[in-house]
Amino acid sequence: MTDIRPWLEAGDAPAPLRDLLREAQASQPLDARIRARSRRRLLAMSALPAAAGVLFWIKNIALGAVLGSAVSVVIYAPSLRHSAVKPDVTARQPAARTTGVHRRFPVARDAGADDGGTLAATISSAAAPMRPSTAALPPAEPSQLVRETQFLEKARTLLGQDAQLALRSLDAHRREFPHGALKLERELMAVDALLKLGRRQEAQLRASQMREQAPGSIYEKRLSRLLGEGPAQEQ
Amino acid sequence: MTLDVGQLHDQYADFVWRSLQRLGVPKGNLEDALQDVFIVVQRRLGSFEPTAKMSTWLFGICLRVAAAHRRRAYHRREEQVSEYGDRPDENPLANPEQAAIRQEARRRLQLGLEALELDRRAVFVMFEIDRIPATAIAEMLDIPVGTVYSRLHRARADFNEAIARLERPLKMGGTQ
Repeated sequence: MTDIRPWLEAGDAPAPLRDLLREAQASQPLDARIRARSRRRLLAMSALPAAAGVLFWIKNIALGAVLGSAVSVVIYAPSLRHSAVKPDVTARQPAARTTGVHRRFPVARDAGADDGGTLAATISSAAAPMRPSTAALPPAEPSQLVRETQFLEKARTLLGQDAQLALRSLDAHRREFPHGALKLERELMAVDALLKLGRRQEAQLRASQMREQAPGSIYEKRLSRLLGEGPAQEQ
Repeated sequence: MTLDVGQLHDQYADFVWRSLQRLGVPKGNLEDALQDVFIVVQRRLGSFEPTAKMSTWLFGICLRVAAAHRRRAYHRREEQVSEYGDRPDENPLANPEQAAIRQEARRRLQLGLEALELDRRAVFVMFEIDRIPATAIAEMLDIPVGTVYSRLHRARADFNEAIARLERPLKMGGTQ
């Protein structure tokens, strides 16, 4: 087995294959300029881990936050039922949904409004237990991130199968989260989907809107490549 | 031993760059792919097992990044077409007919390579094109030499078959 030699050296390859292999170009070394640029970007990303790894970490962070909030709600739900001004409002909400927890705040505001004064509102607020409120507040944003991520994951999968469906999913994301945290990622995928559908003008329009919204974003280069605008210049 | 992503980049960027080429990442996407690999390295460095071989770990990441690029390229054929023709060491105007023949050969070569599974492709390219000895490939990928030969054997058969498939319509008088 160890006497195997490359086809071209041994000369025992079928003739058409030899002709093809002669045309092959060996892998090229990394150009110093690209190496320097790559290193610079890498270090910049190290300095800004949120920018570099946000798409990778977002699912885990969001998942952790949602689980944490679910646990908090489960733990504090009994005390909410006993001490809230209108306990039945919170008790009816599903434990894992943050909206259910936030219903507590309208309760306090309602009480204040009924009395027509800020003092009553303050008293109502003070009557509400403090601990559950701080525990329940943070999940609102992760919950949105989770949903955004789910939208985009679905769209990303669809993009490889059916660009039209992917685009619909991305448009749904745009309607639901017009200023979502992942809107640039969404727009990039939308440009990709439009190009796949041959709707180049729309893709270009959407790309230019994206560039206006976030000039110099980390998606700039990928955008240029998608649109076939030539290699990115030295940054 | 503390691993630093900057040092790893200094040490292994060339290896990653060449591996990505061997795995078929188109020239225009190489820089992005290189960046993708090191982003994953940065993210996963904590999970790297110190007893493992760094080049093997990096090659595994390259495989996944290249697979992702291949999936994307599958849906954007035009990106790959640009890979076939440009070769800096020749002037197509000097002998247009010869240049056309060579360009066609390169196109077929590319299609043949694309037919290979990625891990086989890497071994095939390293051995047949980069002329790296099997023992060195085994060392680099941290696999037994027998596995290198086995992958090479299968890759040769697949490559042969893919090229034969491309030849068939021409011999029957059709066009590609």
